[in-house]
Amino acid sequence: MKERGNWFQRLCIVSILTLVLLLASPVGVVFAANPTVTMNVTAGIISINNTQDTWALGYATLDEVIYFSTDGTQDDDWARLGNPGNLAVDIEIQGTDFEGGDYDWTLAAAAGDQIYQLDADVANAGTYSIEVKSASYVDITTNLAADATIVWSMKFTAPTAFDGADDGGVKNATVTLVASEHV
Amino acid sequence: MESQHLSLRVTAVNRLNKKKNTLGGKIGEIKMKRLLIVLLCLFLLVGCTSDTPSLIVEDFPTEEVVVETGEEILSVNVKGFPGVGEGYGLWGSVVTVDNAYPGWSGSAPVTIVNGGDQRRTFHLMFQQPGTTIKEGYKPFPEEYFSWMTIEDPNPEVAIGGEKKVSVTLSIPYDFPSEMRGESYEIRILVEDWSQTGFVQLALQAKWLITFFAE
Repeated sequence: MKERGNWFQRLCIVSILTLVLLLASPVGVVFAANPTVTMNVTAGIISINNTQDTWALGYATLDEVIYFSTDGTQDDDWARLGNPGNLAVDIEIQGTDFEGGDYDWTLAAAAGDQIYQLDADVANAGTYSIEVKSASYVDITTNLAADATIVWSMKFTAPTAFDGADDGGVKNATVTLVASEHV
Repeated sequence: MESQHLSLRVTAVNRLNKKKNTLGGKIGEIKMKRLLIVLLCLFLLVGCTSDTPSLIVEDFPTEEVVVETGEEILSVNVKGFPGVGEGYGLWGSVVTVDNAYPGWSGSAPVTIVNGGDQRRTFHLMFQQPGTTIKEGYKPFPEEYFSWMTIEDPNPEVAIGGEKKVSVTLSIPYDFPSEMRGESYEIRILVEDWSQTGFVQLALQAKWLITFFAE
């Protein structure tokens, strides 16, 4: 009887120890509640508008500078960017290479052989210090309030050398202004 | 004689019982050892499988979705924007997710409002943020863009209409440990390819995701 009692006692001890180990193990984490995930969605609308979207550069010559305006001369407030939404926005700009004709023109920080340069200007600064890139977005303005408007412009610098002299082909590129909610 | 015989029988029975008890004790010990082995195996097995998804899925919590003032587009109509000919807009342009953990999945809609003068097809895709990124956040790694899905990446929206497009984040169980407790930003680019000018406009929604630190 005494040995049977010992056997039962041992079983109890082992069971308790096992239970303690199980609770202390990573399994305990599984039994515990997972963290609460919170999702918040902003209430409001973002949008932008732009008064000028066409830019016919015409027949570009070597190293020529052409501005974003009706006649290609410098006009720092020719275009207007507006925020008709009800949330403040950040606006970034990105360009593309000129494609078409026999040779494409690559967009880069400085004009060169088959390389053109594009710079933007905002708020009548006249400095054209915003380098437009093809690989990434660059800030043109941040925290533009709802219903606010800014003036902006661009400056194009033609390649310093054309391969094959002049291919005479029509080349096309685009510039994208992308707006996101300012946070 | 009779009492001696009885005494001898009792002694014999006692010896037999003692033997039985000893045998029972040995059987008990064997049982104990077996029980210990079984418990140890069970413990090891359960411990080893503690990270398996199925166990976590069983205890999956219901995510708490908080929309600040409601996501109905009616409030936009009250403001009267965007009207026909005024481009397009996005409602629900920032989604903040806090405490996302491996195995968790959650969705939120981005609503495209077509204020244009024609029916339009929009194109949605994931992007990393440009130069403007929320302080304390990192660009969401491109190799994990597959964690996010867009329900309809090319939705058509009628003139003056709107369309909700569900965006879902599903975090895998083999989540990289270096991302724990970190915050990431990912953008959803919404483009209208019907634009033909040199200067084109686009909008981006943002997801700001902070992962569970543990």
